[in-house]
Amino acid sequence: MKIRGAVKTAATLRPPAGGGAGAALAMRDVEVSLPSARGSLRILRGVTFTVGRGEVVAVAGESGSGKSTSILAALRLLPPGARVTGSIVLDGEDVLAMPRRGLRGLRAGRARLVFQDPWRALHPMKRIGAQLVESARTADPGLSAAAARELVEHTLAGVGIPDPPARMRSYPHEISGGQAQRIVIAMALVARPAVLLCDEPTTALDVTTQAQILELLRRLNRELGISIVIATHDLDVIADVADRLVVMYAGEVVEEGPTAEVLSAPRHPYTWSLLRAAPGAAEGGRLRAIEGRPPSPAEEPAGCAFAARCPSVHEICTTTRPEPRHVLPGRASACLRAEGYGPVPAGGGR
Amino acid sequence: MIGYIVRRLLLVALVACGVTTLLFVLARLSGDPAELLSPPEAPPEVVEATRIRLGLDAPLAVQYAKALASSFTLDFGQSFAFHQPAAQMVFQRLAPSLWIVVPSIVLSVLLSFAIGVAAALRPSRLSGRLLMAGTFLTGSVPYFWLALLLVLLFAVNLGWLPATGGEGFTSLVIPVTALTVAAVSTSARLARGQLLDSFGEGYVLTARSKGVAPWRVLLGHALPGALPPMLAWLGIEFSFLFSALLVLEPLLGYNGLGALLIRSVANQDFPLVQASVFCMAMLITLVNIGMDVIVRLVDPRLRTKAAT
Ligand SMILES: Nc1ncnc2c1ncn2[C@@H]1O[C@H](COP(=O)(O)OP(=O)(O)OP(=O)(O)O)[C@@H](O)[C@H]1O
Ligand SMILES: [Mg+2]
Repeated sequence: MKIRGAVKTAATLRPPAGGGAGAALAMRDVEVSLPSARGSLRILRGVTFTVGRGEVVAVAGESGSGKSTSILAALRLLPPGARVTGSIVLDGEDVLAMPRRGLRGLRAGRARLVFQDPWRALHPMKRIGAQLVESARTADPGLSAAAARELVEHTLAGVGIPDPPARMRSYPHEISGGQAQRIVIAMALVARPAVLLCDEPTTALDVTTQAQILELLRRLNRELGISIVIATHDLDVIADVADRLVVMYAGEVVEEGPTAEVLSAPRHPYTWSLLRAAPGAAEGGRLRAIEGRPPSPAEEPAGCAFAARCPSVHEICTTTRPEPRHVLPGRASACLRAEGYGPVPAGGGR
Repeated sequence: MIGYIVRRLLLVALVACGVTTLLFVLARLSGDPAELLSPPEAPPEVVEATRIRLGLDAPLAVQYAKALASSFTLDFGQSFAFHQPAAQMVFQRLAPSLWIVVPSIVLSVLLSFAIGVAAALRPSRLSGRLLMAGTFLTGSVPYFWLALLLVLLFAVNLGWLPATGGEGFTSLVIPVTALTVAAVSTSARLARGQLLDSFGEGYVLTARSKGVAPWRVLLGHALPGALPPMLAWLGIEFSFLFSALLVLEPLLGYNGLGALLIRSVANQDFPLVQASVFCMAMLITLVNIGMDVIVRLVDPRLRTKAAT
């Protein structure tokens, strides 16, 4: 295993996983408003979730639910004009209160992002090697160019890139999607980060490559103790990878809990609908999309944001806004009827 | 890449033939230079002698072939009016013109880059908007009007600068200023727009997410992405500045290629017209091809496509 060298260093960089030094990422009541042509839009409406040290947490939800916004907010990388309130603690730092310089240090060396589309994330006019070497040297300014190249070569081999020196001379348009995504992950790993935030790291890839990339992330988590957040809109994909699951809908967290428990017994009708919509759940090859669309950020539903699409909607749901609350040990749901809500027999909802 | 350059040079040859043909046709349509160059009441024999001396008696096909050949041998014959080799005259007048165009290009690139960056860094703040409003204002001032205004102010009223050319570097100040102001407004707006597009690209977000210092994000990541259209624009700007010399040089009494061309057209001095237009067309074509090649060198995506 080529990343063994990195294991040692990573282990010396921080306390062992779960060592009680606080969470890797703690978002508390995070609200985000982004400016738009028609006034400011509330994109996140009080997002709260925690990622423990050494944990893999999946943030799941449909397109537009606010996954990317949450991840960008965690590193204060939202577009100019964004207003963020609440509290975000990333690797022990209060992100919203941090001075710019410290923030740059945090981004450079401790918490790294992996973007959805690797081709958009890589600079089309710069050699891959140069981009990775730059990444290693922002994380560790003391690193010589030669040492950085060596680190990059090792890391590329570690993520399964054949012939790293040749790849380093390539330009992004000369490589395949799977390789590009591995390279983007390697670009984050050369920083030896404590936290890796991945925004739909496999959406752009074919199924086989998807599985390989997720396996790679799982391995990095196990071997290096890196805490990982994976945003995804595909629950199937992360079932085997994530320790815990955070389900988002219309800028809110609607359900949270250990992956296996949430998947086998969802406590929110949205999670249940998502599960039914997942390709793996389609019996006889039938795929059910969730009917209707989520409310746009401009709308302010009086009650539950999911009420209009909910198969088990109740009168109270359209008038009272549900807050996330504990429904079982380690489980939270933002459904008013979460207690009375069991797994609805397939097809019985309508 | 080599194949690309060869194809481009073939294009240059094509442009040369095209320009020559066009000039040839226009010149024959515009009147009889033999009559123009003879004394007003000259008898027909004298006019005829002039015609023979200028080679205008030969069949049209022969004259056309000679004209075409001249664009490759660069021998355009003697100027009718000045009795000197036309190519040599053009060559002598080229330098003064370049002394206006090149500094204008350099200055406008530096200025528009500075303005474009400054405006792109604060697109919605007042200072950014004011900068852009300023470029609209200067962009709407015709360069020849600005040149006259500068002459009036600095040459006539204040006496700080010479009103005409031929007085060394001080004569350059007014034409270079007028052209720079004209060129800056468009290129600054282009620079700002390209940089703003680039700021929105994923790779700039990647650079910021890596903790790269802001100035390096700007110069090392956003700027390269914005460069290709800006380089292509530079070629177009060069053509614009050269054509502006046709107005500016006669206006300011400046003895460059622009003034020469205008004078030789008025004189129906075919060899000189042909030589100077040919020189300008080639210069503009070569500069634009040079920019194309540079864009390809800068952007690897174009390079691989062109190589196949
Ligand atoms: N720069 C922006 N300005 C205004 N609205 C935005 C901006 N970026 C995102 N949004 C809106 O914010 C909401 C959440 O977007 P976000 O990208 O966080 O969703 P997502 O869960 O990542 O979706 P996807 O699966 O499509 O990536 C969407 O409704 C989107 O239209
Ligand atoms: Mg997204």
